[in-house]
Amino acid sequence: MLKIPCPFCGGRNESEFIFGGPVGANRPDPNAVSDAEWVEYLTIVPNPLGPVQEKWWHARGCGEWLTIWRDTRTHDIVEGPDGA
Amino acid sequence: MQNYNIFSLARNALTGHKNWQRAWRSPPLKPAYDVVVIGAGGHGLATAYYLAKEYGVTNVAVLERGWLGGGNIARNTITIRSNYMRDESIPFYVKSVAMYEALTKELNFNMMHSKRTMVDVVQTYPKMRELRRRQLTMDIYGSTYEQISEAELRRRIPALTGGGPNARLPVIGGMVHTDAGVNRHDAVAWGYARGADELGVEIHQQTAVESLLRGADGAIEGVQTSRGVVRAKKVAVAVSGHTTTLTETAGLKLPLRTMNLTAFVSEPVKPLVDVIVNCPDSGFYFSQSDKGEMVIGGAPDMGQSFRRDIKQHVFEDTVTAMLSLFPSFKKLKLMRQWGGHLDIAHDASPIMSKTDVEGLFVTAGWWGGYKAIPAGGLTLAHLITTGQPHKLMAPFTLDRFRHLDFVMEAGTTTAR
Amino acid sequence: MSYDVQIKRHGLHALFDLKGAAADVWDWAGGTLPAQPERPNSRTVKGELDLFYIGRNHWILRAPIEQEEALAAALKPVDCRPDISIVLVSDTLTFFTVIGPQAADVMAVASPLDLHPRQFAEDAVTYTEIFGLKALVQCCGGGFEFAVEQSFGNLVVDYLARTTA
Repeated sequence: MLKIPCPFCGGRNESEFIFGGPVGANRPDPNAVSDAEWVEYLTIVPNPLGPVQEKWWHARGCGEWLTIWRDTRTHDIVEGPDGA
Repeated sequence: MQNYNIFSLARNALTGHKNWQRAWRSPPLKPAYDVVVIGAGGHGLATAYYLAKEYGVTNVAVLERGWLGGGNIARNTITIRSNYMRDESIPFYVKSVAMYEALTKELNFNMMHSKRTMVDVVQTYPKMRELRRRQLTMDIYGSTYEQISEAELRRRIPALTGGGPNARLPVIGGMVHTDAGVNRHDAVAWGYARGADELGVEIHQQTAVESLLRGADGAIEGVQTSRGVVRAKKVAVAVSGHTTTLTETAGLKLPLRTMNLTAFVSEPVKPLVDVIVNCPDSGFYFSQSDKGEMVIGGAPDMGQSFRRDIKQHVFEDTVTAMLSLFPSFKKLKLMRQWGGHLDIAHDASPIMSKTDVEGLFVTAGWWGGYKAIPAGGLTLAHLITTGQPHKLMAPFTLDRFRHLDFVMEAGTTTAR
Repeated sequence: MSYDVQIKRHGLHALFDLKGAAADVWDWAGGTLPAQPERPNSRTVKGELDLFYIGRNHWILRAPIEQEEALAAALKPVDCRPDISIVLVSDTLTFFTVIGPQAADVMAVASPLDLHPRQFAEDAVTYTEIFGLKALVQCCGGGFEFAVEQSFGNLVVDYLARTTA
């Protein structure tokens, strides 16, 4: 069980949150990139043995979206969102 | 190779079982092979076996970081079925189930295959509609799926006493998949290892592949292992959750995420449930092993994970769901739990493909890949030897991402 | 085991959901609302009005149901300025009180949140989970009060009955 730091509520139980997926690359301008780069943006996310950046939604709490860095090997939250 | 049969069993019994041959050799590691298969799990060993058996490629090394059959083949719920959704998927799984049924004879190794039927317990009308639609697609490809009434469902599974008319999700009926079964996972790993070894394949345990090596022309040249460099013009990656960890060492990015899927077993009890029970609306499934343990699985953890353990709330949610339908299981004591990390592709379908790196092949994204081992091994052996995908796996190459032509599969564990 | 608590499901309250920048909300409705709560997840009181600060730029105003019409006339939800939002939500939440010496024990079964006074002050109010459902929780005299979506009301009655059976 994770204790996820919410910027508004403080540390809360993981069960209050809905996982929002890993943070991928920023959306490029589709007209400015090649097809291969566009496909990479659409389908590939970092899959490291170590800290990964991901989004969580405090759905059963204050409703805030937040971003944390979590280590995929240990589940330690190595970096919380700003202000938490 | 020593044949396993009633006579060899009797002969060895008379000598106190002291003269059994080893099932496979432990030869010295050579500096080069024609093909290196990374990962001595189900898919890796099956690939090596069919390379030798069907395609005559015997100068093959299977490299394994830990011990043979110690990865996800030892960390699944041994469910073998072919009730998938997509035209692309069903023929492959039908083939795999048929190969499993013939595997004991093929490998001269008792797989303890038990074709015991899977029954889906349906609790919502949308799910029933979806499964009936699946039934119509499966009919085309020779898989079996049949709707049964609630009364018939309860007759077949007497332990299903919850989900009555006043429950939050009353049971409304079921689907029966008679092709489904279970077998013994160790036997699959050991049988393929023994069969491959007999045909000349070398299996090297405790040989961790640290990185993939590319030549000056960019093609694959071999692998760096904990025991030195092993050269090969063809390298196949069959390592489940660690696929991207390895392919990144060759500068290759793949549309895969690694997640943790967990299971747990109860103490052994007398025979109680003789089918595989799947409850897609409640989010759990189980079967009773030959030893009498209930083997129970639930939903994957949220987020990427390389941890092979179970999260308390995933465990609690699964148990809560199970007790709502099987209240008598409340008295069961749970004995063991485990997790396995799998990689899931962007569209939840497997990837079996050559890659942008010449000579490098991957088999990955097997979400529930245990049932796919025989056909997965056969088709990867075909791809490695001919350079062309086997017709059963042609829709599952990396090209589908290039063309955004996804195979969105609803029949995987993620969709439970 | 049974617990020494009184559990009660309450009738409707007048409820208004307020969203927007604090300055804008108070500019529009400051005359009606209690003082602006300073800390996140805390409440302020003015007479019979409670104001819950439950999310970034998000408050809930609660009052006795008899005051609903008068408050609606004062807050003018339909005609409020476009950069804020005021919505009448009286019929969306159902409130329960769990009061008695063992109220904290029952709440500990229901919710993962630490409700000990050291962590959860007298004026605290927050959304968290009750039996896995999104619920608004706060202290009240001698125990706790929480609200879930109206449609989950019967389910929560059942959960509480089982917990305390």
